[in-house]
Amino acid sequence: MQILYHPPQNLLSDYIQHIVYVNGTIDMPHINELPEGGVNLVIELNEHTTNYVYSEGIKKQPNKIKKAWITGFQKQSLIYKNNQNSRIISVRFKPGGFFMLTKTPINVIPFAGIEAIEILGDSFKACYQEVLNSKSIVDSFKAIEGYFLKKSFEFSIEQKVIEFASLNAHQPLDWVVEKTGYSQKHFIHLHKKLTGFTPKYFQRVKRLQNVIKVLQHHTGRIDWFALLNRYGYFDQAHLSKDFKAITGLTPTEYLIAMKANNYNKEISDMVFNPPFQEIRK
Amino acid sequence: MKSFKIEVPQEILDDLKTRLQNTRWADAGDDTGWNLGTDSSYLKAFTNHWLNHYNWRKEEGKLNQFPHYKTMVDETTLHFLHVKGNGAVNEPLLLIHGWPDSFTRFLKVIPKLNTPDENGFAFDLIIPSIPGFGFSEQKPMNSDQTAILFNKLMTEKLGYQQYFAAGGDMGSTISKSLAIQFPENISAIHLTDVGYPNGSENWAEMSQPEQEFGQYIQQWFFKEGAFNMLQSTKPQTLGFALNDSPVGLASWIIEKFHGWSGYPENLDSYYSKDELITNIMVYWVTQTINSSIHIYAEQAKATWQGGLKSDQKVEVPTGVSLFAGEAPFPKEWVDRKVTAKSFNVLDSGSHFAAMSSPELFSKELFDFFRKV
Repeated sequence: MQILYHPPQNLLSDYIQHIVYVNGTIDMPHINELPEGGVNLVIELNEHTTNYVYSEGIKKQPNKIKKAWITGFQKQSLIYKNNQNSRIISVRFKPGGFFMLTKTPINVIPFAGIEAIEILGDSFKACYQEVLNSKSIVDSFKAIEGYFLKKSFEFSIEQKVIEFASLNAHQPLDWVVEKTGYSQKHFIHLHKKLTGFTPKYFQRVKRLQNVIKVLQHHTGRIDWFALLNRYGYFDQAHLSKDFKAITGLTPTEYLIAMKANNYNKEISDMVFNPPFQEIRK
Repeated sequence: MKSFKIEVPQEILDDLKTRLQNTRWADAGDDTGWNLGTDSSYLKAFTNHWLNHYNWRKEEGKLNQFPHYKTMVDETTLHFLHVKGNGAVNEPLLLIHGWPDSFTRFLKVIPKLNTPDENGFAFDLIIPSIPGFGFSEQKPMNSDQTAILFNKLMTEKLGYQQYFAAGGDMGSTISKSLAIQFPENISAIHLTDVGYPNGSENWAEMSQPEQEFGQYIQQWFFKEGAFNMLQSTKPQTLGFALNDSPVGLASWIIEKFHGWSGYPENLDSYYSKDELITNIMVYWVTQTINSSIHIYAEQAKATWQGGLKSDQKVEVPTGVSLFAGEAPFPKEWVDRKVTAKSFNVLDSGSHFAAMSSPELFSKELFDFFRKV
């Protein structure tokens, strides 16, 4: 398995969090993609490979996806069937970033994904071909960046508002709203339009991300008492419930996955080979 | 809203014991006094007490005798004590601590303030941990943001539409912010300091006593204020050190208790070692020293980014008690900052008056709030 992580170039860094290449030649049944508040563009580099995504849980029928697709805002994690014939590039947008670049309201994008061409139109076809024809992965990254750099970069107050809210997701909502100058109703509407989430749900995801980062990078003993206190979970049961609801895994399952696979230490928004209870049964 | 008990896992206490036993003492000599910082002899005696005589489980039991709660306000978990008054009339009173103390600042005044006076007047006490402190979530925020959460706690979670607020240090700033942001909910506030000059004052316009106070603060800043600059600019640098060493943490905190109590010869006559240790334990077991000092940086940031509400003049009726050991602010300064209905200068006490002079502090609160 090969993972290449590419931080976006400066002009795009307000919109795109990262671009990652994953080559799936390792034997594992699933990859679990965790919510981070932004949408994803995924490009399959093997033209004839079909991928499967379980949008309604591992027991339900998966959706087929091919070529390039965009997954909508994630309230929960998205489970992919691992495909050893698959080589993908995943473009992770920042909250509000995809909307600002493409002006696509996030709520029209289905959670399980939609062909990218349906959202981005014919202009994306050329980009897709260029990515496929690139001689190296680095060239593919450049082609993707080139495509989004052609999008308009006009100053948008709406984007600034969401950026401010995202940076201050840990502050009282009333304070954030007052600083933006919007009414509460208008602000929530804008937040949903740009990110797909209500500000409250976004804060919940952010809170859990903090825990995930600690667990991902922990060495030695985990001080659960301090961890629960730090991020305001009432007790371990509350954390486990939230963890499961958002990531599909319990904290213990997540730690098992971290321990079992070194790749899991590298990327915070994916869990390779998640040990789902359902699968074990 | 859920009731909450403090139950520190044994492994955290065992780890603390090991760290205390393995303290690497800086070679400061034994007769340094407090001139260059925490007194070496005191700190060694303090550490010995912590290791050999202090009993966390006993103190934890005492803390748990009070009703603790946790609740989520605006996606932020707040810890608070809610102790009902025993009077015929019980006025809700929000008591707000500061740095480097914690909700434990008010433990000794709880039984005094919830016991009715001769007219049957007492207080329902609500004693929160500021976010970033103790058992509240570690989200360092400025005083205006904290005030928003505390007002929601009082009005939406506890159903008090009209209440009093009181505090010192950060607790004073948050009380002022409450009074300015929510005058419809705050009937009156009581403060043990009204805030200090922040560098934006035009001293030429001020009265003689205020100019003297300004000079006092300026000198104080050079002699004592470095902690503030450090915590306002590079809190994290300090946070890593203090979160890793219990004696280092104690040294940083105790020096403030000494300095802000008028530099007493014998600190034990102001605070028992047990109560100082319990306060430090609240930082240690929750690992909140870093988030608590980070609040200084949030406060500084808000000051340059358009200012804080608490810098405005408070119009809500305010009672001010100036205890000994506190920076000696004059009446003119009080009138500039708040609408003072009373201003009492007391000849004992400290910056932490609720801990060092619980009788006097409680009397000041009763005297003021009874009248308004």
